[in-house]
Amino acid sequence: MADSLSLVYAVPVMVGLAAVSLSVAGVSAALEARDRGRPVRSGLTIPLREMARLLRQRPRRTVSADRLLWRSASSAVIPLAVLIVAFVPVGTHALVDHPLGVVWVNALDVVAWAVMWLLGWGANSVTGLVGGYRFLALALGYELPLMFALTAPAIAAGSLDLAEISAAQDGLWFVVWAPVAFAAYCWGVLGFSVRPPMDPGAGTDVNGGILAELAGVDRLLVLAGRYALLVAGSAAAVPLFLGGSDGPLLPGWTWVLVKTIVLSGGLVVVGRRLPTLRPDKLLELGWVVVLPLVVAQDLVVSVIAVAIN
Amino acid sequence: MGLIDVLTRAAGSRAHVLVAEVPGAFRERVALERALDRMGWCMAESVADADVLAVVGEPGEAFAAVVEHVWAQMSEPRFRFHLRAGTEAEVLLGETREQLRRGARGTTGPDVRRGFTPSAEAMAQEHGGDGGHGDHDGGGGDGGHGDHHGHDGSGDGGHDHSAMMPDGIPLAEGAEDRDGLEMDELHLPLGPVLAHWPAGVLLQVTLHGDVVVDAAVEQLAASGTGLRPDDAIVRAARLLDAAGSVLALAGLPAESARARRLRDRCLDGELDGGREVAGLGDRVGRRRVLRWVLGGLAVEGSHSGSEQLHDRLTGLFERARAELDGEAPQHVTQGAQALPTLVRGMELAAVRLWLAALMPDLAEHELSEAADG
Repeated sequence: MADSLSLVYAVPVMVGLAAVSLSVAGVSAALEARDRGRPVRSGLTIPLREMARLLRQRPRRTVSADRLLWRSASSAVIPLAVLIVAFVPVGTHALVDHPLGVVWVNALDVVAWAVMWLLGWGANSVTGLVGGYRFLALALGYELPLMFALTAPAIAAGSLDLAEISAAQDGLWFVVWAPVAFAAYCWGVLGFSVRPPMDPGAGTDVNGGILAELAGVDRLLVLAGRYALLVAGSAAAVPLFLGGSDGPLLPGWTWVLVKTIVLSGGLVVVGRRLPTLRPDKLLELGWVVVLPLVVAQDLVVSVIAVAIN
Repeated sequence: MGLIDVLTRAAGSRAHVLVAEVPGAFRERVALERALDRMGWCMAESVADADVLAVVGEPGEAFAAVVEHVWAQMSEPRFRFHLRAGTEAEVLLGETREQLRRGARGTTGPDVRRGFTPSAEAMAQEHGGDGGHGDHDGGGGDGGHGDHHGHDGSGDGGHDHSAMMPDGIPLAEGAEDRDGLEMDELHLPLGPVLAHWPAGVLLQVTLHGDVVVDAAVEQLAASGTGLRPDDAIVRAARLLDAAGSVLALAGLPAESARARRLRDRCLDGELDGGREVAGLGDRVGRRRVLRWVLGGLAVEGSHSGSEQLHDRLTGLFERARAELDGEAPQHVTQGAQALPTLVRGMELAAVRLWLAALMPDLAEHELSEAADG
């Protein structure tokens, strides 16, 4: 087990998270600009302009809003992403090196349930609540497959420590012999970051759902937080499935960064191609198709792990 | 230059516009959307998301009242303009951008941060009381369960609220849902200031969770009776516009933008026959994931029994193609009066999708009524 990094490194890790989130948001906006027949380059600066716009806009209040819970939820999204990233080993060290890193990452993604639902609840508006409950229904669909997907690398490496899991993939990444678990994990990442196609809780078809009543800084924190969660989830996939800091020539931390960027960018691109999954369809898919597949995947991984040892 | 100035300038280059489309102002709304695209701005998806309110067309009295109500809920800095027939959308947007860049100073109006004075019945409907919700997804594995919260809407400590009317909003009343469980009844007005929604339609829905149990419809007309029947080009454009809206609501922004670009070219007279429209319709129809996701969203009681939303969507492309190829148009006029029966039992999201798909039929009905009268 490697040692935790000194707290000084929290600054570059957080700056990195912010920079990658901004770039991923830029990619998403650029794709949208292209769809609308506008130059791709014009889309790249949209996240910055949106930031300025929302910083200037006054926050909004609704009648009888549950302000305490609403505000805590909107300010909790980004810290949640930062905490997940803190467990990800960069090079040989993580900001927080814990023997139960996988469990922590899982626990944090479950906190997203509370945060997203409270966003819908706090506004005291019908569409917000509908969005919140749609998110919960969706969470029922993706969470169990996500939990079973997380066990695959843990079984294969025989450890719950992200650094050890990362080191166990010497030469052969877990994504190669656990592709189904990897796919289910990515699906879960899109789910807890409420990104398309897993965004029925914040969809246009429910007037923005959990986002419906948010304006100004509150909205900025949530929108940015969704990208940060996507990036944090992708970063956690690097030690779990993508060989961690394994890679030629460049130092280990750059490989973690590169893999995170590629995965989160890929998830944005793929997500835009798929229609929003409605919760009833998603539950069907999650429990009837994906869950058995992931359990079968865990079985395969277990058999291989036993055979190798 | 201070930080505030830098922010103000950057913010001025991007704005979200909430469009209030009055019936009969389809062409103006399309012109506005195109101008927004050219400026790199976008449409707002809710009141909270909007910086600019654009009234398109000549609103009648009831419509104008709704517009004022929406305006009162917008966060500052906020701007509004009125796009009439014969005014250039681009000029108005340019002026608004100048105002945005100059900054928020000088804007007046009620302070949104302090909330509104909750007295009118409309407010109660807007925020649906203090609701406990039960989650209800047809076909989902979790079954129906209603939870009933009696939460007294505190948070404004010190005010003396009546137990039944926290902040002036009556608490939601309970009623039995379709499974016989007690659910809170919430009232929510949908439209007419709503993206991807038929112009002028105000649908008051009563919800159990997100399932519509009752609905009433009102049509907020334009002032004056200047509605002219559409020609084939405009009819085709309306159909493509509706298809684009359904696709946007279904979460396919790329396909939606494609349908809208075809709509724009159609209005410009650049489409030679319906070949390209049929091509896009085929491509959308072949998307299996879309068919699966929209599966089960059907309406009963239209002339041919139950109809699937996906069929209606591909039908929109097919009808647009027929219009452009000069074939006899199939008139499927649908009066707004039929909407309450249609949406009963649907989820909120399904209502949005269906209303978008019905946009051309509702518009055509209104036009033919205007021609008769």
